[in-house]
Amino acid sequence: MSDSNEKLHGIVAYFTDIDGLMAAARKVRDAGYKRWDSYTPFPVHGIDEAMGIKPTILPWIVLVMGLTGLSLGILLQWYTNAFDYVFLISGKPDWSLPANIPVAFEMVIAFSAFTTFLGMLALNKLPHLSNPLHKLESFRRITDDRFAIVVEAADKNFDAGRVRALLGAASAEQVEDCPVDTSRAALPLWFHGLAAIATCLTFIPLAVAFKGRFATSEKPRYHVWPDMDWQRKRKTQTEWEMFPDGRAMRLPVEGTIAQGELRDDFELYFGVDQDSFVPDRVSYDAGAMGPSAEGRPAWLTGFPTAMVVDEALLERGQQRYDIYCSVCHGQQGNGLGSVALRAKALDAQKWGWVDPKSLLADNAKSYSNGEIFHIVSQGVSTMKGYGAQIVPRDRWAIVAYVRALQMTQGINRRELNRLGVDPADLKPVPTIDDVRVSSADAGR
Amino acid sequence: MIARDLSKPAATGLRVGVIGIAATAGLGYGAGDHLSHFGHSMLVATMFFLSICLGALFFTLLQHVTSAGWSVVVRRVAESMTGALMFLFPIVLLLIGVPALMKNGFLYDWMATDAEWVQNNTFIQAKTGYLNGPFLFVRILIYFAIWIGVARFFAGQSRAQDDDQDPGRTLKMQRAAGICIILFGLATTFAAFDFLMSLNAEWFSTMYGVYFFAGAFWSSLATLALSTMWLEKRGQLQGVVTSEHYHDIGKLMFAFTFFWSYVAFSQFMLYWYADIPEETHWFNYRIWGDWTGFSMLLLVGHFAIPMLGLLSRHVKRNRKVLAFWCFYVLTFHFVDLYWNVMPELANGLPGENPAQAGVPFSAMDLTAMIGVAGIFVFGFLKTLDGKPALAIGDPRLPESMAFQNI
Repeated sequence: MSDSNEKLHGIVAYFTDIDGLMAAARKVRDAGYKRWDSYTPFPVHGIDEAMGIKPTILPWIVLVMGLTGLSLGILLQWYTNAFDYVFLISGKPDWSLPANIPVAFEMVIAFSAFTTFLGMLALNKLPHLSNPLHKLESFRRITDDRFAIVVEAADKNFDAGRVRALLGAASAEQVEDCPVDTSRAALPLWFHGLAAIATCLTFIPLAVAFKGRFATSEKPRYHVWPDMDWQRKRKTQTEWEMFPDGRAMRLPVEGTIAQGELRDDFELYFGVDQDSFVPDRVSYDAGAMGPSAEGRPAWLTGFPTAMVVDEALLERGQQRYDIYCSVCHGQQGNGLGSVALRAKALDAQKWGWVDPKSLLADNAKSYSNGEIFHIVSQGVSTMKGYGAQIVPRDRWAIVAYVRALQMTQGINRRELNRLGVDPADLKPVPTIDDVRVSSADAGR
Repeated sequence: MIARDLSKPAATGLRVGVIGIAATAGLGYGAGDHLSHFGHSMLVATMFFLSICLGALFFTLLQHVTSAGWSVVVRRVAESMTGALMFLFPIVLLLIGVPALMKNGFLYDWMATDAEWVQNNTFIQAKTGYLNGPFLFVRILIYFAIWIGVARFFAGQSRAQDDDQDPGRTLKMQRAAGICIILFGLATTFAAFDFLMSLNAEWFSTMYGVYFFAGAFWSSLATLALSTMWLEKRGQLQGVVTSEHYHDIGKLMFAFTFFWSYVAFSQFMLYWYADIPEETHWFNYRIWGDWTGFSMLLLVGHFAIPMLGLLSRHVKRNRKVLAFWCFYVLTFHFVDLYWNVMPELANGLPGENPAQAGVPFSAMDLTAMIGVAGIFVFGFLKTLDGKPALAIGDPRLPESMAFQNI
């Protein structure tokens, strides 16, 4: 029992089992006390009802914050994708709900989870660094095998004698007074100093980041991981003094050819007669191609002897054509690929865009097979070469398929006569000039 | 605690079942579409009640695999529900297995293996190693062998425990539950592929099994709560099952409202984002065309409304309000299955565009549901009749009866 001169924090009653605690809790509840609590070594089911604790408002706070997270998640994506920096990604609308849902969902979870955790702490007035109860020797057992009820002196109905009598009558094992903690509450000076220094230190990384972001410097940038930035290896197309010729890249040993690099079949690999000279991309620009060019290579007019032109080859050609060529030249070969249509919708000519050629045009038909093969391999004008992506046999398959397109899509007059069809009845294959697109389609 | 006098409602169920299915068949013949609509209506109804049985089986397994104590008072109800699997088995066999052997494409287009368009279809031809009549027939036998075998084992052990009170049986079930839940998962996933996804044999989704399972468990929780309330009303389980247990069933139902939406959206979003024709066409004729409204109904009704409705704990603890949401959940599980099955009625038919063939409501949809419901009720109540309505021998029964959420 405490000294009667000491101010009282509250009165503690200890119980040996849950049933005693619950019965006492109901009595304290019914006696009308408000400032009191139960202390148990583990969560006790039903204690809320026994103590008369009202349901917490935390779920409502979480609901509101979850909805806030939902709105912020959608707002963030609208602002970044559809307002501040509009950027077309794989043809999707700038701002569309299906793409927004994962991020919005995560924001709901993040906001709800943090609100639940921090809200629980705040509503329980935690963290609470000190409590007078911690000074009591017997109170330590409530983390082990005792249950306690504490009625605080701050309760407006508090009367020490009546509380003691109430708890004593409720089969408490022991009833004890808890004095107010009179020990010094202020933190020691060294702690304040340490906290101030630590707070200042936390500003350093922030300051460095700000300086890097907004200040200019003549020094090279700081390398955090120098062994990654300067690896002990030579990159391609650089010098290396270790070799007499000073190159980091090595040439093949004289008289050898790397596997798969032997290209002695000129027909198959270059589209020219055996031992003709082999043009590169530059020689095309110098007029090496086309029907009237002089000094042109001996372009192959048929197919290489190594190739068998049959239905399987045409099917392969169609497949490869649809993958590599049709996006610009269109599946019909008339130049109405999806890239071409979109460029038209954006009016890309003002930026120097050149429409893809119609493969059904007369000059395209006039090229020999070898020339078409060469164009597929090396490119022409603004078209890039596809030699690196498509193996030679597949390039020939594409040539065969382009020929098939030219024969079937642009039907010639003699053929029509033979079939007895009036050319006027046929609709011409549309070209890029026939297409009307509105700029509203540009975003689609 | 013995569930008495259930033979009368069970017999009524059987009578309703036979009459309902006969009426559906009669309407089906009358429709003159080679029983196609009849088949689809019956499939929706059969899958509806099969999914409830499978959800109940999963519920039983889940309690053992997590060694849960709270659920002991309602576990017997779930165990009894799985008894209806026996009676759904012949329906599935007649509806799916036999046509597969007879190469009849009235329900599943791919089964008409002699039809020219099936033979010319690259997608279906590439799958014949899996999608062929004899193999499917064998698979149906395997699925039901697993489901019925597992269900009978757990129901049987639980029943035997009523008499001998042997806690060893609880440990035995707990040990078996792990492997059984894996078998259940495999059988249910592939059954969803075979029974529902292969309606459109060109389409594929690895997520479909989970999607079906999510709806199955969702609706089975609703059935579990409703059955328990019904038994309480008849004087069984009274004072044993409390609002605490309904609260937990309600929590699971809320969780699976979200889980279903999560899985359904994941399935949709991956296809929407990749935008590849052979993957999106299944969604295409459901979203753009005559089914648009129905799809929106599913989105709002299967996700948004029950999500908000089941959010509050007061809803889950009040029997009357929870009963309303249980009926609601069952309604939208039907809507979900209808949305999965019925667009395929027109899909695959030459000259028919499922997006423009309309939502084919028919009286058959209703009579099929009533008929199979009768069979389900018969199987469920016949299993429960004359037995204790709760697992009286379970060592965790006192824990379950004293269970409190807070």
